Amino acid sequence: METRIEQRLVQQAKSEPEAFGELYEYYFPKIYSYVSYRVMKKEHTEDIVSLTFTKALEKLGYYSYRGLPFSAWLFRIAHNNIVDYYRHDSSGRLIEFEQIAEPATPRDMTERIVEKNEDYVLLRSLLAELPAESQNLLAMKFGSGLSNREIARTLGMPEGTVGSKIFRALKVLKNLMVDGETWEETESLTSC
Amino acid sequence: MGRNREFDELLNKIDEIANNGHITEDMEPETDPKARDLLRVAEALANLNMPPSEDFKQRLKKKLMSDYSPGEKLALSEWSWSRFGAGARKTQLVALVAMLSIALLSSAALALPMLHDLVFKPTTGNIVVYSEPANATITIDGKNTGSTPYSARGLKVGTHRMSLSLENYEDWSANIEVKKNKTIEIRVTMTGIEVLEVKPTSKQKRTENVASSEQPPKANVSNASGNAQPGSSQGSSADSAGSSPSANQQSAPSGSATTGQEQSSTPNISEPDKRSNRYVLAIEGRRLVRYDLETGDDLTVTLLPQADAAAMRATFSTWQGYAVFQANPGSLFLIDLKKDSPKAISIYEAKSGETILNPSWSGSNKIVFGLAGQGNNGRIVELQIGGSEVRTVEETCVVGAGEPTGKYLALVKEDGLYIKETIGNAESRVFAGTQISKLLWSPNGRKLAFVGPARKIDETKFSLYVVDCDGSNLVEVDRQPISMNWSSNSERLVYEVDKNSRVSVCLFDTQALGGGNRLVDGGHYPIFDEKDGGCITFLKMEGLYSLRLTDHEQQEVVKGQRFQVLLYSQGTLTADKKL
Repeated sequence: METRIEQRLVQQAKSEPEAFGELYEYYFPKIYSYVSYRVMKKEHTEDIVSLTFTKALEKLGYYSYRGLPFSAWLFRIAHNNIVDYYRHDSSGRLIEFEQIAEPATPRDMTERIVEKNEDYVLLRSLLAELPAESQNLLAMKFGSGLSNREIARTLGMPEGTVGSKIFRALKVLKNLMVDGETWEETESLTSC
Repeated sequence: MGRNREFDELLNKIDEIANNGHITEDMEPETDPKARDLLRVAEALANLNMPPSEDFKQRLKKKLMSDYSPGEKLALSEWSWSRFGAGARKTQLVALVAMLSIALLSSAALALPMLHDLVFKPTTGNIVVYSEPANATITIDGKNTGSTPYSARGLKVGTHRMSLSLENYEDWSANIEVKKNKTIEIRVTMTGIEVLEVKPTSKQKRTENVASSEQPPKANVSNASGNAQPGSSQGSSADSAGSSPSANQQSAPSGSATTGQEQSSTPNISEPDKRSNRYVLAIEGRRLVRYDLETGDDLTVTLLPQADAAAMRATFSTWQGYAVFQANPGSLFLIDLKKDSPKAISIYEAKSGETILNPSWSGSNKIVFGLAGQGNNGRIVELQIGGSEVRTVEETCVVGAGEPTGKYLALVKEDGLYIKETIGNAESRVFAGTQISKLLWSPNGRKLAFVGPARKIDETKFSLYVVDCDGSNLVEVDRQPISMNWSSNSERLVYEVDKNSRVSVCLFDTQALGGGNRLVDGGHYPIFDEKDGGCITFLKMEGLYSLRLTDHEQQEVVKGQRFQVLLYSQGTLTADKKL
């Protein structure tokens, strides 16, 4: 959505529910996809999406455009809700991990990845292994369908950086799948 | 150049896959197997989408719109955009036009009420709320709406959840039934929390730099006279909707409170106490409670005016049986943990416009904290327990931490972390960098834990560090720390990390090589048990747990998700679990 139009809608939405309804219609699929990429369970996705729009509505009066687009503000609310969700519901994720079967051979994984449901679950779990920023980028790119420019505005980084970071995140994901490497640091850090 | 072009082409293909959801036929095939794999991963990601149900989307929209504008405005809003019931809406439109016509021709006093009834369909009622005492904060259906005495018109007919909260009083809440075109009056008598007073005797003297616990800090109770400032400093969450009630303890009731489950455990001071010495201090809702592990009784130590429990916890600092903390940005409180019925006593109120930052013990009866004022850089001050005036100890910064023996002061300046000797004022920089926070001295004052920028710049921004008081032996312990706590012998540090949204309790042994090691997944707010340094207590979704460090055996201490934040524990291991 063009910035000028979006800002006008946002201003109207502070007093007119119709305008908020328009914003909701536009951003709902994007926010839902973004959250679903980062959260395992559908019911939790719905909870987080509900909370995101509820908070956005509550705090709409406080939002004003000072270089931070409304979309960025909305995605940040969603991101914070996801962080809170994981802070308070880590057991759900652990259960998901236990349900994942071991791949036959690492090399096979990549070719089968789209076809098998087990690989679908594995891909989602590996996605969750990535650092939060990478998850954000991939969720916005492939989930919400945002362009690199839109992502750059949302996250406050140069557009070129967005492309490079997405590339790197994909590469890491590929390595996780192909080589079975774990992203998580299991070795404790040594002294400086 | 060629490599850049190939890279750009690859990025373009990734964009196309993200837009189309798959590798298209006209996309030039990749010869490099690694690039090919990459595109397949992108394709897989593009197909990971879990589409929402239309039913959920519409239900959420309906809920949001109903919350948007309650009462009369809601009816009009529904009429204006709802896609449902179009036929009925058209009928209403025709009727509206007809009524407007009638209104023009006949008396307005006759037509307008009919018009109002037809279009706006009054489905609302009114409420009036009084409380004793007044100025209780009212929330209706989770929204802060004002304070008593309070009146509201145009509430939707039906059941609403109303709550009242007031400093030093138990929260009150109930379901209220709003009836169409009726006004209901609600009167609430708030149930107070007893605040004990400790009056200094003529024999008590001020003590200077006493390290022995035989001479405890003197707590001269001062009923707060200032007003708490709504927070914009550390710990304030983004939710600024609620107004902070005044911290004026002069409104606290005298004598004992009369009702509420907590009252059965409110002791008469002269009677022998029946509580055990196995307990935890934790935050439950807005209450800071002392939960007895043997009897299951909980005693409200104080009510917290703000809901940001995590922020409050960050200010909780203990020393030899005493704890100091901030209940709100402008007030410091002291708790004597040795008492079986501890109460929070106000020891300092910041002036209007000033905010207290990072209180910590410095010596036996001094508290060091930052004072940030509006528009200025602030300073670090020292407060003698029992006194009312602060003494400036540092003017160059506002974030610092006193060291328990009183010998050092940690200071966060623009270019890094400094340790300064309180006698002689010699200081040295022990860590270069910005965004340094969460300073925590070990009980013996030999080591300082803090959070600073991570040395390895990747996705991680912050790390937990430990450094000796002389600036030597800097260790990067772990990544993305949240909370931390020293053992009483200063040899170990337990902390919580959040890595990739996975929370864990970890332990750092200063005597061992290397950094921290993970103990438990999913644990929060880990702390050492005050009685048993080989035991760690922490919260999980399932309840309160303890863990014995010798064999990592976990024990459920309190079942159920009751406490939001853990502050202090003593005697959490039962006798049969001890070594």
